[in-house]
Amino acid sequence: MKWFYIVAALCVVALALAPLWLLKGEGSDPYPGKIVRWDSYESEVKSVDPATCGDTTSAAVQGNIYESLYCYHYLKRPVEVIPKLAVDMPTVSEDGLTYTMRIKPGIKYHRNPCFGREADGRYRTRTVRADDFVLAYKRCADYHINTGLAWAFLSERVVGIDEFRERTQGIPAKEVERIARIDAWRNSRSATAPPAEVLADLIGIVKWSASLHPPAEISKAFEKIGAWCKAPQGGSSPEIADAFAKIDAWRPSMRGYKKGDFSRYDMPLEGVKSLDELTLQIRLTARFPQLIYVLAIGFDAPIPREAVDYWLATKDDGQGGRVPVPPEDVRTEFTEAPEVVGTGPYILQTRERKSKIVMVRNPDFRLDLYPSEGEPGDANAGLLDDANKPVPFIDVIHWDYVAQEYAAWMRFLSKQTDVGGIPRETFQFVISPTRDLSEEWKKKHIELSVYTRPVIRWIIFNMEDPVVGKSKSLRQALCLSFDVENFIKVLHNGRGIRAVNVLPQSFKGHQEAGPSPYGRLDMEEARKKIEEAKKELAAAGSLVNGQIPELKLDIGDRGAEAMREGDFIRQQFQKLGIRLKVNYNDWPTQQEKLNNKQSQLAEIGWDSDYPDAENFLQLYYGPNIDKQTNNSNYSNPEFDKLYEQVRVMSDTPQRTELYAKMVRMLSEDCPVLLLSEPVSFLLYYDWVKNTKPNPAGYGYTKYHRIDEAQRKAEGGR
Amino acid sequence: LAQAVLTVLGVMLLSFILFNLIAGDVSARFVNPKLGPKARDAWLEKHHLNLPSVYNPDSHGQFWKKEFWDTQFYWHMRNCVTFQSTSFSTDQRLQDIVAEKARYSLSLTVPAMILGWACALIISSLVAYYRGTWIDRMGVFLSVLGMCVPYLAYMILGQWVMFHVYPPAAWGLRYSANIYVPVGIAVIAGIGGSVRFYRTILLDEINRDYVRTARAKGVSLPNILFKHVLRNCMLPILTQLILAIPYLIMGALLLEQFFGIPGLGDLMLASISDRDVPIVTSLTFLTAVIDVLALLLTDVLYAVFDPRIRLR
Repeated sequence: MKWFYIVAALCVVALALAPLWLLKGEGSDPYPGKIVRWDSYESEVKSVDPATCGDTTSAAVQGNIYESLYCYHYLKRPVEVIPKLAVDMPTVSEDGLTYTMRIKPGIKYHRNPCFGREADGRYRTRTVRADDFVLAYKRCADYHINTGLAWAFLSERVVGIDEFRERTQGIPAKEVERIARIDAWRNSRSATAPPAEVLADLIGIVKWSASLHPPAEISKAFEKIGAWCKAPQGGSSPEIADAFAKIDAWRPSMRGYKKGDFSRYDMPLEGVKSLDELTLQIRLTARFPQLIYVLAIGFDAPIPREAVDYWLATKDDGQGGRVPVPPEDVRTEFTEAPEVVGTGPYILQTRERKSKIVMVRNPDFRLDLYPSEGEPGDANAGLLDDANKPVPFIDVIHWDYVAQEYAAWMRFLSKQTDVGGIPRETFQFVISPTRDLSEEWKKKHIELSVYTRPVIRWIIFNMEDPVVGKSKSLRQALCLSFDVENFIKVLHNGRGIRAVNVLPQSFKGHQEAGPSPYGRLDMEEARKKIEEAKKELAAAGSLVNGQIPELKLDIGDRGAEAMREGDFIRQQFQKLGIRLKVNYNDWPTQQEKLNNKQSQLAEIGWDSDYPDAENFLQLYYGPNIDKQTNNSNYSNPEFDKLYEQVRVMSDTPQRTELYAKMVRMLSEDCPVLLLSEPVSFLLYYDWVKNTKPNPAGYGYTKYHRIDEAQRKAEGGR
Repeated sequence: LAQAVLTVLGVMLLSFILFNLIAGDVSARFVNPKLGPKARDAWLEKHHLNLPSVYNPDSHGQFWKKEFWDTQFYWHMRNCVTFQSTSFSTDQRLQDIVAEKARYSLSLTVPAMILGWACALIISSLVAYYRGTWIDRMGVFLSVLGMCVPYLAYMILGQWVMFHVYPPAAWGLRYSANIYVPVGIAVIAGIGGSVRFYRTILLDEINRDYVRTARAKGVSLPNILFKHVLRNCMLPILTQLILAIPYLIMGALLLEQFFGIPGLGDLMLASISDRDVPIVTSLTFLTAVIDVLALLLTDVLYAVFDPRIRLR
């Protein structure tokens, strides 16, 4: 027994001390001699591949690593698109369908194993070519990549891109085997009825063919074969032979590429071409003046083919060589830090999911200068002190994943991070009623940046709903009775401004359209409207016992804040005697309900993709109901006609006037109850220089500068 | 053993019914609807969700054929058993996620459990031995007090103190020794309940005749406690300890989030809210397997500590 206790005690000590052996700390100075920016992030970085980037956190990381042809000017407001990897702005053909862009010569990729090694052992690099941009577009169109945002901008707009996508689709191995068996039967004895096995294959193939979405004629041919399978005779009967012949003629276009067959990128993409090594041309199916903004989003960052061949098509064989990746392990997306090959000022050194992101300075980054112009006031704010100096100023960007707001706040306060947000609970202590930093916090060397992003939050009305969709007066009444100012003040610490029409205030068309007549609190008018609503609903047969039935609101969150919002909204509706049931969903469920038109009312919002009113107005375009972007299911032929007119127009006063007209139509019809344009508050220590949040773009950390001496003197990390 | 295998199979079947059949089509959550039906089909195919649920009619019941096994249930079983499940949202394999993150969770939960167990055992032995004295009363009072304070309060207070005393140790793993901050909090937060539990068990033994006899014979306190009493109390203590093992690998959600430990704590919860079915079902299966193994181990150890118990 004595030995038992000795062994037990030793086990306890060993297990208690095991973490010291298992874990490797960063140490007090993990980046000796480097200027480091310490930061926190609270949402997972979902993608490090430009083709699949679709969330703001991923975009913020990728903005430092990848570069695209264009970007937004760091300091100018309203935001302005400027060349980044392009020499100048694109040359647009007279018909507005062809964009030609010249690429800056000598842009180098990050050094990476995919390029091989130099004689001195360092990894090699190479310069960017127009072909690399073409590959980026091909990857966005690749059937085997779950491209989130990019495809929405390219599909049906770039010549041949949908056809390219069709052709990258693979045929499952099971179906290939079936086809082979059917072919064997047809080649040998198709004059006889097929054996049971082939019959099963035929039935299976007919069923599977629906997933290929073939042309109507081919669908009919498959149907014919399906019907024939029920009472099969010889395959040489004229009717069935004709069906087989049609399918045979179509089959070559059915040839697809398996996931691991990257030779699909050798296929030409009709609408995106490299005219020479440094000239890229994009051809559109219809005018799309907003393309210039799309080119600044970043999904078209150049990707070297070497990276695809090295990191995705092959893997290390353990003896210094590369072997093809087995089919079951094939990936089509770059996910790990060493696989990321960009041209940006930083190289992704570490990506530990839900843990940390580390980006280090790219030693081969070209000469890039801090802007010398900004908006009025920038010079006084010290934002032009570093004008024309080469960037980046910071050597290492270190982000830690901090899920808890409280922990992130404490890290900022204890100067473990240079930048921070403000938790809801402490907001009133930090920010004064005039939206300025309280004196106490200024003494702590903290500075404040207040900015708005082009986002609008609203409650959508399902226009196909028999109650809210049938009564315009009901929608107007609900808008008039909603105390939005209090909503922002009570629930969001005043972090927002009332949205008065469907466009953010910084967009062209917002001022011209003016505020919605129903974007105000007016209970008297609301009560009048509700009486009108009852008449409208009575006519539509939608009243229950002479009363407006209980409405149902979906909120895409189940947290305490969402509950408070639900209660507040219920109270607002109650003012008009309208009962409201609030359903709290997780975000995917909310999205699913919207897509299936199951929501009667839903609290959502729109974060614009680019600073043009078209991006908001497309949310109300009738044909976009099927594309699931028109969540209110608003359908107005007059509006649709105007949208089709404006979406191909260049930026002219006439277009702005049409935008305003469309906004006024929406203001009258009220397909949404407008809530707020959120205002963001960013805190940073005064040793972080050149901080100016950009409402549209990403990748501006290269302009930030940290005064190391000041940070040390003030007790920073 | 057969019962254990049946239990594991039952869990596998139940998780398939709950998450694959009842949850329905989850593709809308992972494939951008703007990409159209083909992208959805590709995604379904990639995750074998285009296959029949349990029975493939194409096979005509011929189980020796490959088609017979081409069903969602077969892939569910295969992925569970081989830990090859791939996350819907990140495309990572479960085994890679566990390999990457389990050491962080284990570094937190194992020392917390083992230190908590050792401390609770020593303290409860002492308070039990000195039953009725001020040591016992103080021990019981502190235990109850410790149990009354919510777990979250220990974490917030502990972190607040650390941020004011030594900020680099208050969050994250800048130094590997930082892990002992959440470990310490877990031990302190959990010790009250354990002391109360062990004290009750020990009291049953300490009042036995053989203890009085040992005292009368002049046997020393450590010998009485550790040689005689503790051995006879081992069965309930071991049961409690071993049954906690399956949960060690799953981490401690709140502690990990508060102290920046990149472990597996939020994996299950995040996977449920994301409807990441393969991860949820595989983790359920993994927990079931470890749970069953732990129960088997408990049965074996019962026989070691109590010779009266023998397998028939």
